[in-house]
Amino acid sequence: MSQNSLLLRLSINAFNQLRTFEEIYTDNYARLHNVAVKMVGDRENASDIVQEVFIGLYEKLSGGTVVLYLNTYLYRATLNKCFDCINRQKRYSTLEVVPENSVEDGSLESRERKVVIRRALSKLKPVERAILIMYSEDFSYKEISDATGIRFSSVGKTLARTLDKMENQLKSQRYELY
Amino acid sequence: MNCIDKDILQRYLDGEMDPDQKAQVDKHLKECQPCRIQLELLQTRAVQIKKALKSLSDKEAVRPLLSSMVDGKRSVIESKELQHKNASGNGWKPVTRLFYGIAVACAIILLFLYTPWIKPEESQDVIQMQAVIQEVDANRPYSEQETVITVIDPDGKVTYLK
Ligand SMILES: [Zn+2]
Repeated sequence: MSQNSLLLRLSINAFNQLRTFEEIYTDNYARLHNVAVKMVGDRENASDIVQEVFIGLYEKLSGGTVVLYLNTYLYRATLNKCFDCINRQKRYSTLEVVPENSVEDGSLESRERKVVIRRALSKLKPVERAILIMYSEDFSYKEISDATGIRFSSVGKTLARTLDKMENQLKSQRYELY
Repeated sequence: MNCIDKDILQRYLDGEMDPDQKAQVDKHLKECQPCRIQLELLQTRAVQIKKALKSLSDKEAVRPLLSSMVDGKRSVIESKELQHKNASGNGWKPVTRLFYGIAVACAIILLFLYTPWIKPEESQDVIQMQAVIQEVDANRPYSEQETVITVIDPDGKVTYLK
């Protein structure tokens, strides 16, 4: 067997198609990275987190484990690592100026808006942040429940409450929603 | 009927509601303007907040090369495979290996074709199947190796057959 055989180790996606590890990696990296950046607030930690998630998956698959609910697995693992990271550092909540902002393109206005959005997000509890980020990525309640561990029956209520909070945070910084 | 709670309207606008409850909400909305206005506000808010969060997406996220990520792991994996080879090593040529690989694949297909427990015509359910071969070692006779067939039905129920 070539050394590549492990990269070609097969997994099954929700549509029962065979996927290689490389395909899984290519297809999911950007989206997971985005979730992580919004969760922890900086690009470097986010990259580390997503990398750890994929190494974990790689080890699972090469150990012969069949991962059936790949998306759930990836998002749950990513969010859990984000929660750990937030707990470890407790830094994001007090961070007023997010460093990566300075290298961002766009008009001053759009950059300022982003700072406001990040700050509002940082005022939410980690799990609320996770719900909102998943929701903004158009995940279903079921997927949000699977990835965050919140009971399916309470996703609607928690989401409505979190949207209230976010709305108030944005309003308090004069961010126009309507 | 009383006016509708915010979180129920939220589920309604997200399409996360069973048909009975949805019919009830529809009926109330027809008769109640304040609830219609509330729904519209919630709808706009959801769209705006989603848009705001989407704007934070990092468009320049650079995906590290897969090889750089797993390189650290690779030496471990290779040495494992080497040990494996040495243990069973009778040094067959690649062609022989290929032949064995094809033989295994054919055996699995035949197994599926002749296995009595799959009778799709008797049931309306579509049974989806997937065979996963774990660790096929082409250097050992097929009869000595364990092949696990994983059957997954549309509900996600998994059956392992050895
Ligand atoms: Zn009403």
